[in-house]
Amino acid sequence: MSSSVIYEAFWVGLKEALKAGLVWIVLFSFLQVIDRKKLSGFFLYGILLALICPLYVFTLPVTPQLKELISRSIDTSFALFFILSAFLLAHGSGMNLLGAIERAFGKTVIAAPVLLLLSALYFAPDFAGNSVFLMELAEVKESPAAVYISATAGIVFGLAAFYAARKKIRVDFIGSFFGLPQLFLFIAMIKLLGGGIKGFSGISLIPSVQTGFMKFFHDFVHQVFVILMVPDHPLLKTTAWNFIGILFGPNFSSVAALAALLAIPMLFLSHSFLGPVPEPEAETPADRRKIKGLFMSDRKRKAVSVLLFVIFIVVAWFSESGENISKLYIPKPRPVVEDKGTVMIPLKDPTMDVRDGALYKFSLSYRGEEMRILVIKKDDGKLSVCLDACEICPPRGYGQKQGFVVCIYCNTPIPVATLGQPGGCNPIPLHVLIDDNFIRIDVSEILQKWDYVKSGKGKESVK
Amino acid sequence: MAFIKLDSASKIYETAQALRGVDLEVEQGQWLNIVGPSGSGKSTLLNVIGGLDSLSSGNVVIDGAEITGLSEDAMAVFRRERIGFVFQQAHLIPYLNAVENVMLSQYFHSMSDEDEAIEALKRVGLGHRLTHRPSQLSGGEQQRVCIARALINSPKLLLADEPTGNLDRENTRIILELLKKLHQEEHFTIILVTHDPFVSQWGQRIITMEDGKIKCDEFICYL
Amino acid sequence: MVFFKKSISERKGRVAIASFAVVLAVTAITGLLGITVGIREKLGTELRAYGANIVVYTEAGAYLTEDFGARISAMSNVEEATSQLMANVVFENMSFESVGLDFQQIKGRGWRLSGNWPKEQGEILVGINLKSALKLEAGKRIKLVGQGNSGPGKEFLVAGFVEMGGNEDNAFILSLPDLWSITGLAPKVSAVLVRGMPGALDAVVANIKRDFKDVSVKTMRQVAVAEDLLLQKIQLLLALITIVVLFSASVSVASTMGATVLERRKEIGLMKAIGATKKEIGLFYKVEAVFIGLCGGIGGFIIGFAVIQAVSKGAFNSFVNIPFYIFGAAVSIGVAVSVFSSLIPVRGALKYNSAAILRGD
Repeated sequence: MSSSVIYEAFWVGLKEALKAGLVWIVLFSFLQVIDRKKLSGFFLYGILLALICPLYVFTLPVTPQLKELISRSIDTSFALFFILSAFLLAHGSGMNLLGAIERAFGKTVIAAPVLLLLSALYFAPDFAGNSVFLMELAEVKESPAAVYISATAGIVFGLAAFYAARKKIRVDFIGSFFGLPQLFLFIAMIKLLGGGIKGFSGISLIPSVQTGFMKFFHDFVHQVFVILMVPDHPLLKTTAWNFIGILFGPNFSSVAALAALLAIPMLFLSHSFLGPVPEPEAETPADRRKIKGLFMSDRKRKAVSVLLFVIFIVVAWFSESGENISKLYIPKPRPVVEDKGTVMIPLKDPTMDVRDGALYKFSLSYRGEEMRILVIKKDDGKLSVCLDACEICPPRGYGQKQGFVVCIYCNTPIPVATLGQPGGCNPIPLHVLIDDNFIRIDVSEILQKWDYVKSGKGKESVK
Repeated sequence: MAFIKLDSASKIYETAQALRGVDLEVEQGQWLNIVGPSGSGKSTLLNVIGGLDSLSSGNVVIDGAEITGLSEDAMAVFRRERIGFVFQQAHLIPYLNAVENVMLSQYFHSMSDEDEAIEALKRVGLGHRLTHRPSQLSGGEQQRVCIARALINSPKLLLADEPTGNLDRENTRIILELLKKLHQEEHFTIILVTHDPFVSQWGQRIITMEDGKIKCDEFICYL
Repeated sequence: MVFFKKSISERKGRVAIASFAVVLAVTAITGLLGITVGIREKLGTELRAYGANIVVYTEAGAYLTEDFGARISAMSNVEEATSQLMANVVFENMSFESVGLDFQQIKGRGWRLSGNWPKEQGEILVGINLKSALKLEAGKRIKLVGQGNSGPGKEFLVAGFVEMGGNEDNAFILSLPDLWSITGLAPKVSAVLVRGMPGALDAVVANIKRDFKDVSVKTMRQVAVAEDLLLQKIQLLLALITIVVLFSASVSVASTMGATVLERRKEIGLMKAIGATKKEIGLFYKVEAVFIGLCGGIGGFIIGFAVIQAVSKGAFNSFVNIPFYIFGAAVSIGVAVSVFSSLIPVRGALKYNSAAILRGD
């Protein structure tokens, strides 16, 4: 056990060093080829700047909030690089979007700080995250020093490997594969592959884009249909909703997510392979052909990293899509009873604690009917208590997935943080009293709202 | 300065010495024929100039570039841009048709361009046999495809090793007329190896090789 | 690309031979990987067929009581718990295993059924292997007596036959009350099969151990470990075969490529003369090797897949699921073998002096 901790620490160090080394090589080669070698120093300063982050993190206690924050910033940092490269690729595939920016980047005064900042943004979240991971490892191990020494050894080893290989690296050759967008895309991909921190973050790109899409489609289509549709129309009500359900489903959104991620790289690729080739001026047809050939082969080289990215995304999509989405946690409702007009839900008993962040459901049998209540702790520490039903869909209830509760009927993800808001596909909030031991709810409150759900009046009222 | 300059070029094979200190200068645009008995070193001389063979000592400068020390791959790059070859045997790829054989040379040079290849074949009078395979072409036609292929990348130097060795007189004449026409139009340098006195009369200069040395060097009237 | 396509289509025979060698290699590898992955999944099928991932039981001979099941199913993170009783019954003076359980709970859990699900007490299922051995048919009434019990036994209606690739195929499957009534074991059960929330299994195991003394609790994984040992031996054997086949396939591809290259010496010489570098000529042959590898890889995967299914059908009486990535692995290995074994002959060919070749001797 203890030796595996040491290995993991070493691995974390090694991984960070390899990643930094790889990015450095690519960036340096690129700068060499465009003859802006001087800029490369600012990348190193950026790494130094990023190092402030773990130094600060080491002074903090490891909390779930901290981990969540870091995990988010890793995703965000990836997204930043991806979006940047997408813009630049769009620029490269014929839409001259960024001429002004390109000119600005030609000036060292502008390029240097941008590079510095980007490099810091690139490394800071990863460094911080790995620091947290090391701190956690250190807690397991009797002698924390060993963990840190091992991690340092990993870093040293990784850097030494690059140092040893520096003569073998053909800077011009590597550099010929990269333009600015490819550079960004490639290092974004390195981040995606090696940026995750063992323990609490992996490649969450596809599912998170997918969830975003699901939410978007749901809100959008709901609005459209609320405006266009007569909800009481018996035929539309069932068939149409079933059909529209496809749009909210994981299949559609995962395809949409794939399309969104691939659209611009594919545009670029098609431009690289099929785009028009300028007819050069030359003395002989052979010379003309040569210039054209060089142009085309350069264009194809520049497409390599984009192609890699596309393949990577497709593979990730196949292996991940649906996986995280379908893992919906649906707890079994625990029975509760009504006593003198009040339902009392214990906050804690030997088998559970509703404040542990998981979704809890309780069922109340009353007047021969079963009504469900859901309880979940929000990020801010408050408990959210709602009916396990919304105003629109049939009351199938909700499941939990990552930071969302998901409507089982229509697959809409609702961020846990927004629970308590009424309307739409949100679970219907209940007015409750919470003391040290119990959640107290008025039965009449539950009854009135459950009746409202059952009657399907919600759909009418949105009209 | 001369376009081609050989400086005491020697080539020693395991069993024989093919070149013994040859000094030679060829001007740009000149048509030079090399004659001599077999084993006199004329083919070796041609291959050395084309970089297919390397010298044992001495050096070769072509178009201002010293090719003696070049690596095999660097020589290949030099060759595809500046030199065209025609051999005694046609050496066409059997499963490719005429146009594709020409395009192969374009491909290694830079990129293939079908229209240009077709144009080149029309110029050697094969506009009607574009999609025929080598086996469907006569010897003379095959050799004309080879000429089109050799000239497709606009080389400055054409090296021909017994290009008419396998042809009858009629076809030999066609080939030579064609070379003459292209030479006059495009002014590339030709070095042609032959043992046929009829062929050697075409051109501007004849050198006679014997025993690895230049025995005789004469300028003739360009036909 | 045209050059390449034509060069392949002109030499179909050679390409086919080389591809065939790769097919053999990839078949062996697919077999190895598929059996490793697919059959590993088969292990612990018994539990999975009950939808369980934890089994609770006592040491041999002792029983749990039925209320264990109810109590366990009320625990947190437990989705379902099924009680099961194993006992021997006597049919026509022969002793057979029998399983008592709740038919409603196992319905539709991947059991292969011919006939009907029992609707009420008095109806039973019979393991498929007993069908022909005992000449039973659906709708037949048979009499079973509890072994070691003085009771008179009871008549049952055979509702159908089940097949799941486990012990149940050789047993009578009764409803729990029926088995109790003929064996007199009520309310005892042999084991409780529990479906815990994935990810919370350890917690469930800990809770059960805490709440119930003197029971053994195992996760499906632990049960599978024992069967794993057998699998490892099979794997070792397959690995040896694979190495041998891989080696011979490489030799075969190499010699085919060698012959090809020899035939094409003139081509190589000519390409050099018209200015192709060694790398570019090598690429020509590598692309061809990749093509052979792809063909062989895909073909080999298809055959390997069929072989695995045949083996599995024979050994486990059911088919296995082969995950998609095995296809990727198989094809990449095919390509790797093909490219790797073509390196040596091609490298040799590039050394020829093109002047000598082209002069025509």
